[in-house]
Amino acid sequence: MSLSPASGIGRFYKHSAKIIRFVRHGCANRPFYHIVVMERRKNQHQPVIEQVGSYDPMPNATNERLVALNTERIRYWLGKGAHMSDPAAELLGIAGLLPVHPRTYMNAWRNRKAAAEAAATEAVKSAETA
Amino acid sequence: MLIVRHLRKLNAPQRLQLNVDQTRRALSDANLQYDKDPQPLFTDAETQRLLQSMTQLQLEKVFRKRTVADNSTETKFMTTAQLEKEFLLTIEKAKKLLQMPPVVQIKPDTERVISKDPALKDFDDSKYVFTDISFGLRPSERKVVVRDVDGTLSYAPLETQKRMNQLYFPLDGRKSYTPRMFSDKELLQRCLDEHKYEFVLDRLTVQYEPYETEFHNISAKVFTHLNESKQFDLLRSTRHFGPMAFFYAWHRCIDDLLYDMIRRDYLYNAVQLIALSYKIHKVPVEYGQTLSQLEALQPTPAERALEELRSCLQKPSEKGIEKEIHAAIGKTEQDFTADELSLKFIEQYIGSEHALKKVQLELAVQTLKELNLEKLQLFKGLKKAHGVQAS
Amino acid sequence: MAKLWLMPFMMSNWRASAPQLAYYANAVRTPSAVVFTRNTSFFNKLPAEDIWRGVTAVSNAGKKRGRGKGTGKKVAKDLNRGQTIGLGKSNCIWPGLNAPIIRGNELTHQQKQSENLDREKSIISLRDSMSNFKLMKLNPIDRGWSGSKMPGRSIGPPDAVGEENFNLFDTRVLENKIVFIMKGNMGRKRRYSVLSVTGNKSGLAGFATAKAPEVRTALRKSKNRAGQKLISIDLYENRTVNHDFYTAFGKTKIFVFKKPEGHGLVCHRAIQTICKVIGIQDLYAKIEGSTNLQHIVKAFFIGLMRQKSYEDIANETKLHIVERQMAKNGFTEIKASPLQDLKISENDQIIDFMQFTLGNKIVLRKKKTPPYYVNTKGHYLFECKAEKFRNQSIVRLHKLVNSYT
Repeated sequence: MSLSPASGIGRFYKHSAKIIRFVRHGCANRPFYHIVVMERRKNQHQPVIEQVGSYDPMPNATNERLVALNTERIRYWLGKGAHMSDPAAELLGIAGLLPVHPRTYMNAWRNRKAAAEAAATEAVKSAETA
Repeated sequence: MLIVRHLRKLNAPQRLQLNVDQTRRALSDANLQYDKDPQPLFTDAETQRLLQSMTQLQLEKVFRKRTVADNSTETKFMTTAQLEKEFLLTIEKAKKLLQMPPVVQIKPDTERVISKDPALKDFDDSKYVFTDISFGLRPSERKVVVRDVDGTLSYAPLETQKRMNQLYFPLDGRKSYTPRMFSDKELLQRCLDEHKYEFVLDRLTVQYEPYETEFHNISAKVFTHLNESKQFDLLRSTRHFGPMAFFYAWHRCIDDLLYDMIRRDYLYNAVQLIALSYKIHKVPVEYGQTLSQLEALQPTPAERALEELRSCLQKPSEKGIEKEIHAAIGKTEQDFTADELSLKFIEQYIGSEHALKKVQLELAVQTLKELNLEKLQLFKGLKKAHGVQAS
Repeated sequence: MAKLWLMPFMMSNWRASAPQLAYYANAVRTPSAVVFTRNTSFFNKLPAEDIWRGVTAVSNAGKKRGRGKGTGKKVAKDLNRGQTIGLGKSNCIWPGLNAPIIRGNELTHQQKQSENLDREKSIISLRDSMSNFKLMKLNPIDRGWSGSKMPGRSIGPPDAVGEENFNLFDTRVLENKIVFIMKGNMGRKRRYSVLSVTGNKSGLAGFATAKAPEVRTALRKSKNRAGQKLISIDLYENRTVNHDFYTAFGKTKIFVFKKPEGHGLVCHRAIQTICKVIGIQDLYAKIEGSTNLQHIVKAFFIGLMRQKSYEDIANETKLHIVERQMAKNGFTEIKASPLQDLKISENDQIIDFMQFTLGNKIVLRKKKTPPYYVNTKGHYLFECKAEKFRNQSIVRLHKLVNSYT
């Protein structure tokens, strides 16, 4: 195997900052993320310390986005003082593992607002045509 | 002649017609369901003992040659002591292979909401499914939660849970899609018509959990078909025989199986089957005494198999003349006494209103009786000729 | 100057004809257009046959060394043979060509006639008969190890001796070679040596070498001699050897392994052929050392003859022999038990069966040398890319077979 294993062979430095973050795998136009623990300062494609989950952002046939989380290890690393990247924190918030991230609320509010505006313009248009 | 006259007396033509009708009604329903939870009765120690004994343990059937990728052989030296240990291990292994898939009720799917957050409504355009992949959890313990588009966080429905388990922790042989054998009715029917019951049941056990509706429906279909084709011997000494017998006993259609057992001279099993049916339907007939008497006379299937394995070690000279006679006749003195006891019990059952196919059963019992009588005479004659003392 | 120019031409072309001279005279006037030509060579001096021989034939010295044996055999075919002008594919009357223009008082016209179907065939057969070189056509089933060579080919059962006939036997050639010996008056005397093996496909086989000045005689002699040297061989379930064994002859060492049903013959081609003749279907054999064919055959037969039955081994070691079959879910079957039991305590070391049957010999397992490109950067990058697609073909096939999306 030429690629470094997903389970992690990255070197562990005692005093450096660790982060729980996404690593983009997959290929062009087809993202797939590993949720990993790694040195904060390192590039995402360096060997990781540990993989703690995966995230498939493209909805599957039944319109679901699949996320796998090794909750036991995530809690361990958070307890150790590992940082969180924003997307990862958002995802864990949606999962109910952490408090929901403010950005998720903001997105929800924006989506609702956009939908309402679209509905309003639609209503006006239909009224005009009528 | 005597038997036939006796039978005629027993079954007036009208009654016969009635019986046939009853049987048909019982089996015409392709989807026989358990009306209440069968699990407590099935996992009951006594029931399990009865079912295991009925299943029997034929070593050549349990360890029959299968088509596998690795068909290598390993030749070894062994001492007698090691061989003894190996025999015990073999029996243990056989028992493990014969462990029955449980018969349980269909599990209802209930929605369990963890939290509702209306402020999260429309946070995304598709729902999120989160699976806990922590190490060392059993599939049933593994939590799968769903965050819906409207912001509700809830436990996933059983179907999703099974799908996620199969995705992240695939079970060997289980497919993520429904195999065409189960989705296409024609294919399943073809399997059944070719009497591939064990294959269908094995695949069913792998593909579905015992509490799933499909498991119940398809296994009911297989057992019904089996009851019509009467190829019960195909499932003997497999892990599906127990659930099959339990199914027939539960749905009051044991007669065909009973007939097969009598015809093959498995009288002890026949008694057990009747006792099981009495137990399930709480019929006020005392069967415990007969069972315990028979139990004392007959070895369990495991003991019998162990005996068979150990007999390989004995040299021909060590075997006594008595054993040779037993081998020739196929029965011991104890067996004859046990047969008498069981026949009495079976006849009692046939006489009662629970039996549906009285003519057939009566005929089978009479034939067996005559055969046994001949065997007994031969047995006694042989013993006398060889000067073996009656024990 | 002009004279000086002309001199060499005059000298060399003193036989040149008049017009040529005139040409040179012209050339003299314009010196730049002079072309040097040599108008005589072996090409216009010698007849065609001689020239062709110069290209295709071999010199006398070469002939002595045995060169050019195949030359001259394949002659160019004369495609004109069997054909006459005016007669062709379409059977036609051409007045003036293959028919008179005026027949009696009438003028003949061009006219088509019924086609002659046999013409083409007869021409082809004529052309075929022109060359004497023919490839031996062999049915694929009858072929040996290589083409139409003898080794590996069947030469039928040995001839019957009196009442004894070898109906169920089949003989196969293992080696067919030319051997020389020196004779006092004849010098090097050449003979053919044939090694063949015969057997009835159920445990009876024999092998023999025979020499004769003719191939056919040598084949017959060795076949019949093999029939006279039959050895009975113990087979396990009529398909493989009794047990693994090690055998050697000279510098040839063979490790033979018993294999389960359906494994096939995975061994040297000579051993394969012998096994087929004996009736062995499943076997693996590894040869170490020399692969001299006669030694392989001898070593293999010695090994087969030295096999022991399970009963003998059990009595010798005073242990039970059991066989565990994976196809039977690891069921252990007792194959043989000793006549009297030796009491062995739990702690005693029990010998390994394979070690016992191989006589404590171990097969030499050489490490494979990796290809030269393994440590290159390009290969590393290729592997990185290929790794992402490692399951793709399997998944695609699976989807196709089970027809789901």
